[in-house]
Amino acid sequence: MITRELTVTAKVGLHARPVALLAKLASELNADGITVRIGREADKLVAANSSLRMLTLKIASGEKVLVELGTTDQARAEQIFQQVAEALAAD
Amino acid sequence: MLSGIGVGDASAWGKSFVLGPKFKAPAEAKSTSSTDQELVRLKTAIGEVVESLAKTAATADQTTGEILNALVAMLEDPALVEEALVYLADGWNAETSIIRAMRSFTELLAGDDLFGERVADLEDLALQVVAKLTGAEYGLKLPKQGLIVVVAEDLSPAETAQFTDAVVAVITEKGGPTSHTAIICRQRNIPALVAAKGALAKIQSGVSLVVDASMGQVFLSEVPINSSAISVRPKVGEPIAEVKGNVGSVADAKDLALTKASGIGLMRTELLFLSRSTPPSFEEQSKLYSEVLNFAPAGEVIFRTLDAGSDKPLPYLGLGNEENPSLGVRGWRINANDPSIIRTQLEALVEAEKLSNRKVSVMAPMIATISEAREFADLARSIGIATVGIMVETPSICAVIGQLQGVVDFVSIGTNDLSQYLFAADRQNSAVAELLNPWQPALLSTIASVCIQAKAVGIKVGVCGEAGADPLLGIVLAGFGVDSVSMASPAVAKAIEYLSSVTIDKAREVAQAALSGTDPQEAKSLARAALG
Repeated sequence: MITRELTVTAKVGLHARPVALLAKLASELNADGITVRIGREADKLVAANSSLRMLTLKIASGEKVLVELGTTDQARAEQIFQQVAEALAAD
Repeated sequence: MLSGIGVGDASAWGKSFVLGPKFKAPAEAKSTSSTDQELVRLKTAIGEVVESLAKTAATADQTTGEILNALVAMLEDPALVEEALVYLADGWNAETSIIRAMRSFTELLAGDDLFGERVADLEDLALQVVAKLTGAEYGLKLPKQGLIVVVAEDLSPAETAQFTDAVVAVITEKGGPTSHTAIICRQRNIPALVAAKGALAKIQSGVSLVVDASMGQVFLSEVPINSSAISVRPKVGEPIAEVKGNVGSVADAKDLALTKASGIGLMRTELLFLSRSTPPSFEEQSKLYSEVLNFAPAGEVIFRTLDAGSDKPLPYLGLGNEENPSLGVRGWRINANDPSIIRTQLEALVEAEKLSNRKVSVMAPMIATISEAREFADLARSIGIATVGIMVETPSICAVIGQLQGVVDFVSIGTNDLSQYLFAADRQNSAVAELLNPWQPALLSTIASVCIQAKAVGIKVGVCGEAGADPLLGIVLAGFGVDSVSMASPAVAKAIEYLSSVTIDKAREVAQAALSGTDPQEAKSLARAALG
């Protein structure tokens, strides 16, 4: 598992577009065998392939989140975190 | 007969069609089949609803389509079936399980203004699935012919997507200016009234009505009116106030250049700053700003310095989480934290002047005191910008406009935020939407006062908030002494038409009439009557 802290900069917070983009990304990664979880604290992460679960976190704009990837490939993880950061900034 | 918040400016006549009570889910029940069988029933029903929504989305207009596709995504969410499985395993039937599963999510989302909006959508989706499971009809069944005024408690996107061409107007008991109904009706130019309390009690089906969105009224009328936008006003001279455009990007500037706007009254510079982890460089900024200047229509171009902060967070500003972002460190206030950001912005604007061979004017947002105005003006002039102004958004600065003499060249009234702070009402909260109505007497007289003070000391006044886009209100503003109104491109033509259709004396009459109104509706109808 590789975990990183990112900030949600999208105006609406973890809602609407960011959630939709993340869910899509996570679904694609799941198909590749990589799990993606997100949340405020390490023991309360939810599956990022579910918009509903992410919406119930009610993460507002400016908040920090933990993103956990089910892989040990550092390079791949770096690439994925970049995509996640873009999703978290989508307006 | 009935009033509410109008959506759009048009009116329409038609016969009312009151929507029946919403489909009600059957009582909760356990199933006699196995969990696996119920799971198959549930997944099939979900699949069918997804298919029909996706089909509707594909042929709907873009706004409706986007909303419907977002709903489809929620239905396809793996968490929904996961949650429903818990109840299925307990022996409940598919109908009960999907409702309970949905409820477990909506309970978590409710109560929060932003997230709470999704609750109605999700509940509606669950009902659609249950209807599919029980074989019940779930649809509006609107007539395809005639002129219909749809009357309902509220409408979901799926329901508005079922509107036939016969629908000419909409009235909902609930909802607000930013509800789905309002957004979709505005997009489709269907006059609507939302938050029309008492609509269902007062209106039966088959009644002939006129829905006047511009006045926010509904009244009985056996006589059809010409369903159209406000009729064209003949020209009597040049516009009595300049009409400029609000833009946020090069694309906006190109769109604006297709109109007859005189330059840009507000260039929002946040675009380059958002969605990144470091501030944009001097080079990136000067390039963007000069491109905007290259495409902007002839006339003064006013750039607003960065309007970000806790409510539009940028990680590199180094600001923490604030309890009340709209009352915290935003706009000009970020300068105290990191002066390099606005300084670089201003330097990039000076460079853009050289690259495009056009002059730039600048203004700062969220100025609350004369000292702040002076600080900003000194900074901008020291860097080389000749024409400097401030936005008028805080009630505090409205009280001391006279003291800006010799400090700034112009002020620009941001009516959206000014209303928010003047009425202590959150712009994002539909429950207080009426307080943000730009025809509110207190806002009108505040603007009038700003004009009087500014004129006395030779400072020009512009309005760049949404208020300027209302053509009739534009005349009132010109009557107060506003020199320019700036708005989104689509509103430019109508504004120019209206401002060219009156003399300044007439505009003053209309302005005085508006000021004697004691509520927004009265102010608007007095203005309209004075205009003739």
